[in-house]
Amino acid sequence: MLEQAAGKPLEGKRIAVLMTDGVEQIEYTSPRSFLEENGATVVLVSPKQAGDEVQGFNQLQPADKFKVELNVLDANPTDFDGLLLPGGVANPDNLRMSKESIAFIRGFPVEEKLVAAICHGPWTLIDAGLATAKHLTSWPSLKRDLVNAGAEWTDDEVVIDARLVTSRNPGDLPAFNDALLKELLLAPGNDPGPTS
Amino acid sequence: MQQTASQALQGKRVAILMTDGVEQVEYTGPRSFLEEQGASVTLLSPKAPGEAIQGFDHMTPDQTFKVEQDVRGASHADFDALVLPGGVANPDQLRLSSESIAFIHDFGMANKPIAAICHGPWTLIDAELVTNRRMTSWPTLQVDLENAGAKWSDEQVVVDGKLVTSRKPDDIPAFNQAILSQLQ
Repeated sequence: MLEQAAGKPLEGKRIAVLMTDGVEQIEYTSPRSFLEENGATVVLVSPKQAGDEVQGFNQLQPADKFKVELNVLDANPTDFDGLLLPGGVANPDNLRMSKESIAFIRGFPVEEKLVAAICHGPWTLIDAGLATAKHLTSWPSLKRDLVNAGAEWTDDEVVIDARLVTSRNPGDLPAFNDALLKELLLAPGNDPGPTS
Repeated sequence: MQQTASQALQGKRVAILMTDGVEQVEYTGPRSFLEEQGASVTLLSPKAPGEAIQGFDHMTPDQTFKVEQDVRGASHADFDALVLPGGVANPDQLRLSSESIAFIHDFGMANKPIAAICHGPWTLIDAELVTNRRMTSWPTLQVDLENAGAKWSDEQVVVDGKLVTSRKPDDIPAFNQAILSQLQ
């Protein structure tokens, strides 16, 4: 047990997952399991109330439900070391209507803190002003919107710019998770610059 | 004689382009209205003719609709107007169908009426038809449309030349009337 405790590299790290109904559930469950296995504390934050359920989807099929752990109005970015934005087309579309959610995302400056978005997740980065002049990727349908917002978009399984980590689809989750681990292990102020 | 009065769109052909995830009332509402006015309406899709399209009532899968024509090989020359319903997943998938985007683009280049509602206007960005156009949409698309050069406003229906746009299912009556005006 001692060995296990010593072997968890993300012990003490706190990660917020911001999502709502329509989330592509594997893009929530896979990074959450990975981060928790590595010792991090993960909190499901939503514009829905704490205790309410978020409806997950497998593509167009409604699937599992997940209990909200913290309302975004009660969440403070300074309490977290990083932010995870899963996809699912309806999830970020709903978040874009939530001023509090966009303000929360804006509270994670990507020069200092991990912001990780996958699939349709990067949509909210446009509204939060975090896409401009950033190199990133996404589900391909968002390409035009991200480029029009001033981002440089490339078709790679994972793109890292400052502490902004983006991926395209569930098939990229292993590379996405590895990038989260790597970015969370960097000390603040140790940004090595674009590595993709 | 009364029937004649309500057959204002006799001989007009309207294409509706959509795929899985369509907000079904944004398909059935305009289709019923246009058919009642005498128009002939065809459901086009990147899915194959005879295949079913999964409609949604907001977040819940609901009715299915049979595809009547493949968008591949379809020509704007066979239609007088194009309707683009919403439902967030529907235009999101159409954006990845190059044949669908080309079909929409050709309609715009031919200066024929295009009517898009809710999330429907997303594909107009990819079809390069929004720059300097006055339009509306579901509010989440506002920033994407503005970044693409559109002039967005929050109205139940916006008509700019041959482009008709509305925000949501509640706007369908005004949306239908605007399509009718375009076709008369």
